Amino acid sequence: MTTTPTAVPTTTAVAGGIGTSPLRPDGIPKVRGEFAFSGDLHEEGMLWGATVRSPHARARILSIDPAPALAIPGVHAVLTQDDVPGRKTCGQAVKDQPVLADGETRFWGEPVAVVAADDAETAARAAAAVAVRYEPLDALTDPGEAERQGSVFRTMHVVNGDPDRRGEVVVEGYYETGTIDQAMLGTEAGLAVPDGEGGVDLYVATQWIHEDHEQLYASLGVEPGAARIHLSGIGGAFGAREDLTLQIHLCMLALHTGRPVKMVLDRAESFAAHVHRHPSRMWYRHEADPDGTLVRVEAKLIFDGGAYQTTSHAVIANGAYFAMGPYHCESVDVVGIATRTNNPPNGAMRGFGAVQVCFAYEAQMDKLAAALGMDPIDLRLRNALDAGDRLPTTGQVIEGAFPVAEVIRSLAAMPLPDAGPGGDPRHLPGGAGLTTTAADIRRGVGFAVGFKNIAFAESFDDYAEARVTLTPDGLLVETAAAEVGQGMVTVLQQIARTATGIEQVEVAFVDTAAIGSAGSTSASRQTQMTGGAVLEAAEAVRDEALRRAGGGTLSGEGVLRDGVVVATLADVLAEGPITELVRFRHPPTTAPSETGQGDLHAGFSVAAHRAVVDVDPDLGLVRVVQVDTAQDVGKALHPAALVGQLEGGILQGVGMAVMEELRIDDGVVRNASFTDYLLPTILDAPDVEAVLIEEPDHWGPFGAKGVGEPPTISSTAAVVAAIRDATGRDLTRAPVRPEDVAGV
Amino acid sequence: MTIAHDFAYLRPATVPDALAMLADHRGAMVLAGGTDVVPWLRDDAITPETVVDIKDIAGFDAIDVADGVLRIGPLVTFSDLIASPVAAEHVPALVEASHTVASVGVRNRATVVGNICSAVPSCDAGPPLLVYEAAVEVAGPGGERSIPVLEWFLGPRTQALAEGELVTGITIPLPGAHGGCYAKLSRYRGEDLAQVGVAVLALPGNDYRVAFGAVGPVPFRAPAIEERLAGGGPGDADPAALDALVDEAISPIDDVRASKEYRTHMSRVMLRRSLAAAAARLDGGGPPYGEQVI
Amino acid sequence: MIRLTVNGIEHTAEPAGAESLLATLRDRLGLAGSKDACEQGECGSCSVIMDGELVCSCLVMAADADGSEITTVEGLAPAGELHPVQRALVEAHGVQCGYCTPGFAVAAAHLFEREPSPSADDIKEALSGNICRCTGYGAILRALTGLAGEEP
Repeated sequence: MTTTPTAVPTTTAVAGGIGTSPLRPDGIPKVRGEFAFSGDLHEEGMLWGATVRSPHARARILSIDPAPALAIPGVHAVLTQDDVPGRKTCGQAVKDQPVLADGETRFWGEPVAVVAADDAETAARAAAAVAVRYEPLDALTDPGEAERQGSVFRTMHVVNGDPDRRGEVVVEGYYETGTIDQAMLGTEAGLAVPDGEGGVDLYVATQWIHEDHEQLYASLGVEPGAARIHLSGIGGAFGAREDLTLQIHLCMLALHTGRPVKMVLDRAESFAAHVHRHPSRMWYRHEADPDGTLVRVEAKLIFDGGAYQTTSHAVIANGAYFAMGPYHCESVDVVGIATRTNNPPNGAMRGFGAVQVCFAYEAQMDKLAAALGMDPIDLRLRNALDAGDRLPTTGQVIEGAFPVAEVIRSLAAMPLPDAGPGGDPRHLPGGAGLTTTAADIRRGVGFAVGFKNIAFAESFDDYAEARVTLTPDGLLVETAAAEVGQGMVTVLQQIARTATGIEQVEVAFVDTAAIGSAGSTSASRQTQMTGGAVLEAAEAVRDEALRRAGGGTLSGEGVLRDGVVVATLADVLAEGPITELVRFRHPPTTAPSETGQGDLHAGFSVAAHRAVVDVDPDLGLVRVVQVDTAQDVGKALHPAALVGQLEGGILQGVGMAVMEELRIDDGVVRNASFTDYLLPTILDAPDVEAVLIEEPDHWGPFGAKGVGEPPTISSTAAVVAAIRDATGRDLTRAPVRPEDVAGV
Repeated sequence: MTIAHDFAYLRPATVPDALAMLADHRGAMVLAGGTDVVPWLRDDAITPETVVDIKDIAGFDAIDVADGVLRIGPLVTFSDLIASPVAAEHVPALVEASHTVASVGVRNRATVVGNICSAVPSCDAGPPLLVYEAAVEVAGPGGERSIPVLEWFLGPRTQALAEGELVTGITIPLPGAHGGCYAKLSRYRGEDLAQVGVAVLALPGNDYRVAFGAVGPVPFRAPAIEERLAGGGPGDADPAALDALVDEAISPIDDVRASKEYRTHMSRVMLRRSLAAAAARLDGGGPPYGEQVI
Repeated sequence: MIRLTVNGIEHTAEPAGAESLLATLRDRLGLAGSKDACEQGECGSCSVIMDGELVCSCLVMAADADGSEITTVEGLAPAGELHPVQRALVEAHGVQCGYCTPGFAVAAAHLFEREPSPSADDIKEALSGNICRCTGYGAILRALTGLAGEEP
């Protein structure tokens, strides 16, 4: 499993600067088990919280009797919606989700009440003992029916070009994707500590503490300063921590009992507590001229948002804006609908609306190539967008780098693995059992290209704050950005080093009271956003230090002139501290017109994936042998961490292609466990070879682009294309089930 | 979440002690590896007042051969079986099945006896023990008895053990020369429960034994298939007729892992493949048993 | 009351009911390095070495571990040092969010104890009970194949 980044390490004046791959500062604590995740926190005298959740997809709550729970020794509180001190609802854009159920539950697993008790066991028993009488109601769980009833969060209609333009070659298709879970390893957990003065400190794993804070203090009914959120160790996120789960509950319990309260969700609860990737239904019609020029794309997308809005408005917007891929097209008509049903809420997950449509439009491109009698890669190259072109959906002129054709060419030029699985049974599809032999195997190869915007869009005031302070020992970088595992902590160090020449950089993750928002760790944005803030702040610190010393170059020893230290860092600081706070914004975006037109996005990134699979068509089993990729990364600030993002994102795409799906019947999740929600293990992981395309972007540090999401966008499409290639079947639904492959 | 209802935890050192404890505490749960029992206890899926842990009973961890019989003690784990030269020599299809159980950390604890005592329909030890015609040795208030595995499985998570009884081992009459095979369908290379398990024993003289797991309420032998195959090579039976017999033998369900139709199709395909592998192994060829797992 | 020798130090604890060894280690002995992610033996985050064998500590009843010797991630190497597999995981960038990392470190250490130069396939088989959601396993495999002195 080697990788071949094309990145040439940048020569830097300082060790551990950008373009190198220094070790992450939290690596050793993590590998020793000393790094404190949110579930590892402990406070003397703390209570444990637990949640009462609705067993129904939809029900009226007739009564809630806390008495049986309160009768259990060691139980300190049972709180319901009546006990929410402030705003009774929460949510990111729209506050439509009750903090605790408001008389009706609208999805399976919706929190109805919370309890606090002396220990986890007692809390769990108390939650089970709270007597809730439900009257089950008819649940709306079919997104098609929801659309007919007008039960929708947002309807997009993106129209561009001549609506009468028609192509001679037409392909149509209908595609579906399932509900996917982020399955981050660390479940939701936190600790709330009352300050004795009516305020509370919350230690929690989340993706955006300032957004959580806005919702938290409003629902607690306290002044903003009376509720403070501190980042604790985060065991992965992938979108699952973008919405509130237990934050308000914990603080309510802590303020009510006057005791610290800890809560850790178990895996089954975790599946119920956080949002998932929207399941989708997608109708497509592609029309092309006989020479392969794409001339018209029509699409209708239905993404089911489930019971509450969370980020459905933005997910369906992405679906609509990126509905036809990184290709030219004269005429576009896309309808996108996010439905409201009684399914569990869906929201953010890596790729955020771009994943579903990529699965469909890349299948369409292959189908179109077949109809045209063209090579599918040639068809993509013929229509590839480039910087300076207009995005055919929104009409926006693409600024910065957008090397679609180079990504495609680079990937197509990579060598394919050796043919066939060989005789080793460990390299055959299927489980550990003796199910398949090499003679039963057919190999397939599939190719897909996907793209997405970086950072927040549609006129959202998107910014990140960071503070850089010069100390006698080096630099202190302070941020509220969430390090979810991706390695931002290292990248921020590298940026500060390269900007200042000072190797010693400490990154401190500080609370909501200590600094302004860094924005969400999502939308592939932190390298560019918080990285951008750190770069500007570090440069300002450098310039001030040099000004005070009368010029020269800065290093960890101090200011140098002609190679000689003329002022140590302490000397420079003698006349006062040097600290710079920067609020960094990306280029402004506009709100969409009624037809979805405008400069809606701050920037884009493209990636392509080529999957090689071995399939046993009789059994319907698939082994994903290799997934190669080329990705537009702007500038590889940390090549090793970047490759880690590519490999990790690809495996999530593989999971969605062949095994992962939350099975929901009538609104009830049937496989809320790691036994039944299948995740790829090391035996399922393909080899990955990566080519990094480095063309600097128009904003962000050193031309770097965020890289987190593109690996998950087209990898699913590529794997399914490869299975189509091996079997000749249509396979219009992801994940592909063995039944679909075997044709049973 | 740990929901710890209270129970007495007992740890007998001998079989008579264990039997006395089981006699004194009705409904007591016997604990060996605990890979099923511990999560069931934690989830309150079972709520015994007493748990009798048999790990201190001497000799319960032995695999030995005497008088033409292979005996597997109640504390023998799947990892023990994988490491046992005796098992590899005499019951290679059972060892092959052991490789397919979960992952190393689970196989190091999960016992063969516990696997059939839990008696979930997809238990990997079930089909191989059926084709090896094993017996479950039981001690109880009424003395000792031997229950053929054919009569052991009564329903999902239900077996023939009576109140107060303790399994003291599994015995397998040495099968002599044979080709065996356990084919397990789980979707991916990583750990997964069986969606279909097929065990086949090919004995000299074109004599076949066939058992299925995960496609009925219990693992079961398929006598009608065995009769159809008897006397011929594995390829001699009319495939369509064999498929029809498979369809009659199995009663698969729809669940989150696989559809009924898929399980049916898989049972047919895997029977064909297992027969071919077992027959080839009988002749000294075929794929090597199990996998090269360290 | 049970007695455990954990990382060479004797402890006593009074686990409740079916409390798992994992819960005892984390909540009673303050050894939070072993992680809890599925409680079903599927993810390996809770891996410890018990009397020389790799086990999922979520599946071991604490009462049943009475008298046993346990090595957790905290005890893989003397204080201030790293076990070779820990060093390899860090240096090959095999750590991202780090939640699965202790389990991988323990399972890999156990593997290398038995087999100092496992093949890539051996490593995969031995670690197939450990789930990582961040890395795609590439860097983990590179770390361990590198340690085994073999290119993947």
